[in-house]
Amino acid sequence: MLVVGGSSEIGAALARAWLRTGTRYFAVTERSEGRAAELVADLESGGATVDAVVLDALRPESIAAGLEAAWKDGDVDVVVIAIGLLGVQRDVEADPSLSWDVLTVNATSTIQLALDAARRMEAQQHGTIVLLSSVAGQRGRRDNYVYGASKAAVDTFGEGLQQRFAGTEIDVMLVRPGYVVSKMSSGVDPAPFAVTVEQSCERIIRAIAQRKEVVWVPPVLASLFFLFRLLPRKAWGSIVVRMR
Amino acid sequence: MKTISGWGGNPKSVTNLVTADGPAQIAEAVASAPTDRGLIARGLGRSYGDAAQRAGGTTLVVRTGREPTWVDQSKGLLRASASASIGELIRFSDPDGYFIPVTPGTRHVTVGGAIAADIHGKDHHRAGSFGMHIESLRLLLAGGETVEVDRESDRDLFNATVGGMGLTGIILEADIRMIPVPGNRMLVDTFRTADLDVTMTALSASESTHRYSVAWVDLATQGLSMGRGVVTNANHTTSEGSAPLGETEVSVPSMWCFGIVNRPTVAAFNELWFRKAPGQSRRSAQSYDRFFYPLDMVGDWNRFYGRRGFLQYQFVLPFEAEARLPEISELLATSQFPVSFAVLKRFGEENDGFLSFPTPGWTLAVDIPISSSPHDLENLLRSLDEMIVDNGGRIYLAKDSRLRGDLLSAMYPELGSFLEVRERVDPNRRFQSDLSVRLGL
Repeated sequence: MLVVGGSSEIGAALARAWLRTGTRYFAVTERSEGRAAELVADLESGGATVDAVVLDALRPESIAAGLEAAWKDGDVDVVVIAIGLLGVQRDVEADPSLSWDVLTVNATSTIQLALDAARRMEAQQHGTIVLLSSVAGQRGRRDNYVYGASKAAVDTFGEGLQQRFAGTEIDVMLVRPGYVVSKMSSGVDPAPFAVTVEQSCERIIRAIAQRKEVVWVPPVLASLFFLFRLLPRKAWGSIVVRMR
Repeated sequence: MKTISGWGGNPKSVTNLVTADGPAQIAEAVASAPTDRGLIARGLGRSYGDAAQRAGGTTLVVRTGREPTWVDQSKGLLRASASASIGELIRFSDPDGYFIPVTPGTRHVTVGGAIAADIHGKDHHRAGSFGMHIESLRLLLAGGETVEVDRESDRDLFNATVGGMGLTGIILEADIRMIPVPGNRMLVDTFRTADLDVTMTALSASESTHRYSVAWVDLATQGLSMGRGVVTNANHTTSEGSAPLGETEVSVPSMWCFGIVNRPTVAAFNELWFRKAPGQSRRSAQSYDRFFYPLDMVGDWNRFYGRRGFLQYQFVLPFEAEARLPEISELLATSQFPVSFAVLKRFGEENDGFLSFPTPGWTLAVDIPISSSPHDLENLLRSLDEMIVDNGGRIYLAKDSRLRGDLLSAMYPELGSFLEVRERVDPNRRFQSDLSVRLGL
């Protein structure tokens, strides 16, 4: 297993769930050696063995090296890409250069990671890539349109990647959570149908086994956003205004 | 590239499936296969998990066409090609009054596979495992040399190959000591047992009187009846010159892809199967097919498990720890996962194979359909793994598809010796299977 973004709450929760079953080779990636060591200590406290790989999502060479290290001991069955920057919308509007980080981590690096993992899984002829997108990618929204744009990129990318591996033993899964109660969302007011990290984790693990292509967390959001996607701009716009 | 799997239907592996006929082609295939992901030999694909497949690598189906021959008929010493099936050997030796000393629950297992998995049968408490009846074998090594191996010439290589899951090289041929039998029928005593305790007692009592002894047990029922079963004990007996084996009468068609094995159907089947058996012990003469290979009569029965397939979990618990068997059975019976099939048996003496599975104790083999929550199933099996290891037991690799390598050295104390031989004859790991990679072999 490889969880990229191991210290993200979803990433760490998934790591813990898999480590309980004695998953043999486990690598979590972390931005710095210090945080990597902390993470390993935390995860290993359950008695498992964890390998931490240092990977800085803002540097392409670091991404390539990180995956190389994760794959050195043999096949990796599941790669979860759980890095993400929410960004504070207001700050980004005030300083546009901040948009680079949000888009780099959420879209560019995520895509590079996924493509590299895909290439390696092609050689091993099996594997699952889990991409964490968001409902924010479904439509532009006043409150999070930079974040939403990055997630929209992941969605379209993911759809194409799925077509590349259609009919093979390589699965690509797009997870679209709504509002997840976590550190990352602590600055944002909860939206309806909020879920916890544990609930998201459970859905993801189950869906991987079922080889689902798209997972909405919670499932009701699938119908909701199906409708939202059909709305003309003006109608969507007034709903957004009413949501604020 | 082809998608293949073991008998349980999972995991599936996309592999370069190659067939090689005869030693020359086999050597050629081994030499020319890409080395990055390795190669593994495959017989009739009856191992349940991923022992005979290599995702992204080469899977070599081996045929060495030669018919079995007697090396010394008076001693029952037979030379067989590794691709010969147990069924073929039985048909060959029957007219001369011999039978295979160890047979598993299906006759569609190759000699090579039988050695590589060091298979056992219903007579393990008397006859031990398959490897014990092998005089010598011919092995193609990673470097291209073919060697004759026996306990005298290279004891370590012999013991690494018996039970070695095909990882020391490709078995080409073996000399097997067959057993003389009075005829080709079995005298079978069948009776019901009310619960696990009674089943265990009955099996213990049968050892001295019967060569073959095994119990089907019901692990779908909870409570007092858990572990109720049907014991079948047998000995060889005379016959009236009939054919030893028949043909498969009916096959599940390949179009059948939905599973019908679930808790209600299992409960119904178990009730019927239990009631069908006589309350009092009843003796009957049975053919080899009926006693040894009832499941072979329905071809491709694994299709009843549908596309998801099923998992087999077989372990052995040493006699010293037999008090834990009811607890383990209880965990299985009360879990959210239906146990669709369970068989209990007593093992006799251990073999010298480094990775040989049988050891004196109780062995339980269960089938579990793959559910929609395999993660939860894995959690359950992992805790069973840990319990079994804590009590000195182990898991059977030929049935396994999900064990983690961290427990392997505790399960198989001679793992170190196996790895030494592997390092000696295949340092570049030319031979690899999904199982070997998963377990770090």
